[in-house]
Amino acid sequence: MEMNEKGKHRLFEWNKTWTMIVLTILLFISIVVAVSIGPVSIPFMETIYIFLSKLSIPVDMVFEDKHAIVITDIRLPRVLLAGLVGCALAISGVTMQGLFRNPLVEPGFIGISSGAAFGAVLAISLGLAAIHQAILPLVAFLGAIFAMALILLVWRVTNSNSIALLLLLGIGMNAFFSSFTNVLIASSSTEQELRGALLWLQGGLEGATWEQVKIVGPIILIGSIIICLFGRSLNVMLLGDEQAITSGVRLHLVRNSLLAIVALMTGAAVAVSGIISFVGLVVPHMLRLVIGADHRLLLPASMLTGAIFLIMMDLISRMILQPVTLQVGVVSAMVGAPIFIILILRSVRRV
Amino acid sequence: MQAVTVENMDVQIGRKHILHQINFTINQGQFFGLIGPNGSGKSTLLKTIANIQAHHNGHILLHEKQQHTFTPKQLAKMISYVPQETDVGFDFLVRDVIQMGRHVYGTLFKSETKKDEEMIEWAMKQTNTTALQNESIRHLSGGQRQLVMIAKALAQDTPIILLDEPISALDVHYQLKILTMLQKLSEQGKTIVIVLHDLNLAARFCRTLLLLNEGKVQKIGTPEEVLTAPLLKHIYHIDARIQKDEEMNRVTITPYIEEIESNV
Repeated sequence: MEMNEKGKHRLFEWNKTWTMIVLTILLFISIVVAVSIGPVSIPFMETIYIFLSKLSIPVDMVFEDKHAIVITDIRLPRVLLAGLVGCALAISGVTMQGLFRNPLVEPGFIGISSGAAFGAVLAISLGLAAIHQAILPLVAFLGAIFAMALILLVWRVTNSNSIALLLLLGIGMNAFFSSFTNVLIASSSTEQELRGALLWLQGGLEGATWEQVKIVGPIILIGSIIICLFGRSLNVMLLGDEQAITSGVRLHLVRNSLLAIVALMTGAAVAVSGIISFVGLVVPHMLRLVIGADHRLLLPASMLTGAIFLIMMDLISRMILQPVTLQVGVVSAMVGAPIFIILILRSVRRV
Repeated sequence: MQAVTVENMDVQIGRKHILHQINFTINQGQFFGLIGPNGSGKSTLLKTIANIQAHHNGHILLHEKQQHTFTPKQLAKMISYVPQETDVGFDFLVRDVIQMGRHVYGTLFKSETKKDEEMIEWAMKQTNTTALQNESIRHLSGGQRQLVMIAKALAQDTPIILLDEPISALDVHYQLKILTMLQKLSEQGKTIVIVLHDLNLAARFCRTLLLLNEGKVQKIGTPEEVLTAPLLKHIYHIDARIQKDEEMNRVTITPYIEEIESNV
């Protein structure tokens, strides 16, 4: 009996390492596949050799320089950006669900998406977006942070620590921002503006550049790593505030830090990609079914799985109706929503 | 040593005064029972000692040190708390939940130590939850969940343990088992503060009882001093036959309500 229990416990540790290794390999494969497939198809092996040569590792295979340019200049930034955005949305989803002790919450609930949408559409309709390509993401980011700050501020003023109240405030504020966004869209003066606004709201990665990767990358990666360090505290917080406090968690500090990091990360992600829904719901749900609810594993695993998920969704969005490209947000909802519904039905049946 | 000292404490939630001018001390190693009617402030009192609920005026001292000078970690090494009910919305294994009792001893990068593992095994043994350790907390009954939360508090290894009706969902076997186990711990020097509704169990296990009524301390003393027929009539509006069992050296209470029962 004693031996058996210890064995079981070890098996869990073993699984943890292996889960991460398998997911890392899958992420690498999905990156290679995603950069190889496109209007010009490049053999997978050639892609790998191009990667190796770019990393200054000598290889004895010749590849076409044209292919190298397609990969590094056009496809790789887009794929990396998809990975980063997916990572940010998934880990933020897990974090928010942990903080709110509710598996149906995602970052959009505290106004990040609606604020960013308002900012982006405002930038488009005022013509600011046309001045410089950096303005739209910047205004969208500011919108996201502004909306969230407003919600958190009102929540603080109520002097209540009720998470349910925060959620309700978020719903109200989201509706408020969306109404303004709709006013702006309805009053857009040109077809081009209207189209630009609608496409942004659907979420897309076609304009991905290395600059965006360089700006958003550090925010998302550093933010994700910091969140992963809070895994143990998030576990205890799932037992409720009382248990968190009496177990030695600095509840307010942890909660506020996590909310701030989630806002920064999702704000940055939404700014470059537009609104992409369901990643923050579907990925955590799938993972919990497979690896359980322990945040020490769930958080890092969701980083990798979110990246894989969105890279694949972006690939589908590019390929499915070629030469027409769908917006990645549309595809992710098209694929994510049914998966989500199935997961919900499954869990209901089990209970 | 005095484990818990409460001096002139008031607690107010919103505009409602829950506790007024509370004064009492609990010595180390005491098995201390809180009793009183519904809404008398028992849970609030426990939560205030655990610093879950803030207090106004007055002082709380833990091991003769002001409560507000404790950092969250120091406090978690001093006090563990078992709530009335815990709702875990996620699929944690029982062992994972009990392991959370060790949270305060961990650091960011250190995984479970040998000491953690020993304490978890011990806590599971004390509460008969060893066989449940690989089950999901969501698939347990209310009583089993209570046992797991008691185990979590034990794993926390604190000198003071606060329990809010920890046995309300347990069958009579487990009620006695848990109370006996807690009694042993108190004999070994742990201070147990427990809210109980069952006056007979309170009389049998607690060395000292505090009777709360409408947010005020009505009486503190031994079970014999507190559980008197006039006091029970006054507080609970019940009639009670109180007998002293000399052989087992305890009082037993047979409550009844004269008006109702005489009409039947």
